[in-house]
Amino acid sequence: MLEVRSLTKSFGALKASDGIDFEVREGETHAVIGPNGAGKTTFISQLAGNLIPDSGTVRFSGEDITRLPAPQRARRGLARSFQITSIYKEFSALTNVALAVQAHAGHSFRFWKDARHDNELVIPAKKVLEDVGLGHRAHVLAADLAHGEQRQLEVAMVLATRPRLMLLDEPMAGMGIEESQRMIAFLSGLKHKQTIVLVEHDMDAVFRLADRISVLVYGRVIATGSPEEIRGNAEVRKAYLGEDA
Amino acid sequence: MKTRLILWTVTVALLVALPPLAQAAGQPFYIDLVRRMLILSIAAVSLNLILGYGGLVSFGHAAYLGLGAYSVGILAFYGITSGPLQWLVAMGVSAAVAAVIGAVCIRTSGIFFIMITLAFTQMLYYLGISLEEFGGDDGMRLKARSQFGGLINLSDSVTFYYVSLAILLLAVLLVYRIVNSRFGMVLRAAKSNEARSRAIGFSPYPYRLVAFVIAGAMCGLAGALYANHTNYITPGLMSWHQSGELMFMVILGGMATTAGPIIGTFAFLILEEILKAAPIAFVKEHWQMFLGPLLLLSVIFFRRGLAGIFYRPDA
Repeated sequence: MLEVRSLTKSFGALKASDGIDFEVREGETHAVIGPNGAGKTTFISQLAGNLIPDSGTVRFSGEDITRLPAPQRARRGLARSFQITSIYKEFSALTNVALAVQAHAGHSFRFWKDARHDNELVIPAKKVLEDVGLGHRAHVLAADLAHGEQRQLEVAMVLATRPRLMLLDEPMAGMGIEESQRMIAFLSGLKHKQTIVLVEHDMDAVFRLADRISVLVYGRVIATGSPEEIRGNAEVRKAYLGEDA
Repeated sequence: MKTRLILWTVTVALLVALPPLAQAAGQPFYIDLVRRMLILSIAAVSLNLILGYGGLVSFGHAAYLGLGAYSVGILAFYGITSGPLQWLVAMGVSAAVAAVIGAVCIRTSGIFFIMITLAFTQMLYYLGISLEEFGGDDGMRLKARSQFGGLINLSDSVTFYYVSLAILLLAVLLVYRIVNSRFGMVLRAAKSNEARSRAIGFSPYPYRLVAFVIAGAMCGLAGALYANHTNYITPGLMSWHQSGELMFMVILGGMATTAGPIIGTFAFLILEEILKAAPIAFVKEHWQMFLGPLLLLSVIFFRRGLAGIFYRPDA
């Protein structure tokens, strides 16, 4: 579904992506792990179109999207969440999600009808909010939501775009244990219904959710495989898991 | 919601009642004074669409006030006095220029956007000065007010007042509908968090450009009214002072609020009148010096300007 070939991206002398080959299969949850500074966010930003690679290709469903801007990728079904929560703080939770629905409901050159009472937007938005467990918070201003709820809201917005591939950049970042557990439970409920690329620090989450794991170290993928294979990989243990032990 | 509805009703009622009251009191001067406020409110309402809701800090909005005024003035100069035609041309010219300026400026952001909108407007300002045929620096007298057959007579002070009021209310309604429509939500969302907007699939550029053109056309109409109001058109209408004043009005009244631009315009112009008529010569001469701190205070104490007093989040 997603195919990345020899992707490189440098910032000055730093090679943040150094010839990455990467592949996502339909329906899988593919985790990307790696130590701090491995280039995970740079990598996911190139998949989402926030950064344009220096060389290499990104293909999505057979189409070359290497240089396509982010909004066009989103409309083709590639939606991301950000490591640092990115929501519309001055709108209610419901309006946040309704906007995500609207982004995929054709053009928005409609000037008269009140979008806040447009059932084409509001009904699907409410449904997604309920799915992520925020149904009771629909009319709360996004800025007033707890941190964990804001993370949930961002995932709800990604889902509301009905993506074919979700790119989640550390969805559990900054969450308490209980909130993380809830998010993990929710994401595991999406397994095999939704194709997911998951960048995550929380190893517990990664090993519970991922079908396959790619390990990124200094801008290179040093290993890809099932959770068991990654656990048993000597190079990975040395480069990464060793740090935790 | 209810409070605001009452406030609106009272305000509109007062504005409707003003001409007969002023005449009864033998002070018809107030009709012209408030008419000027109504007309400039239209300009402020249009600026609020892009500045308040769109986050596009246009430091050149007076350009469209000038373009609208000159459209009327120049057509009248050549003997074309049909009001509908003049006003359509005023809006059309403003929209076209806004499309060109917007197409360039909206590719930039932040300080660059501010400076480029200012630069374009300064170009128009100097163009106005260089038009010797139309009075150059001194400006031109409007030969005749816009004609609407026997239907509406703008030379009648009261009629003109009600025309201005009606257009202002239409402008307010239009902007209100726009900012709550799908289009407006894209515009406001892009202001709130552009990265988020792009990530869910919105390309803000075309929406911002269309909003910029709508605001330009609306301000062009305000310019057409203004030319009729003063009977005189000067390049000064397009000066950066004038652009700054429009921004001041919107910020003072409350950005991204429905009533803010009107409250701001009225507050600004009333204070200007008071300070200019102050008994102390120093205050009279340097009235801007006393008006400036007010903007500061309003920004510090009311997050959404004067209208912020009534503001309730309703997203």
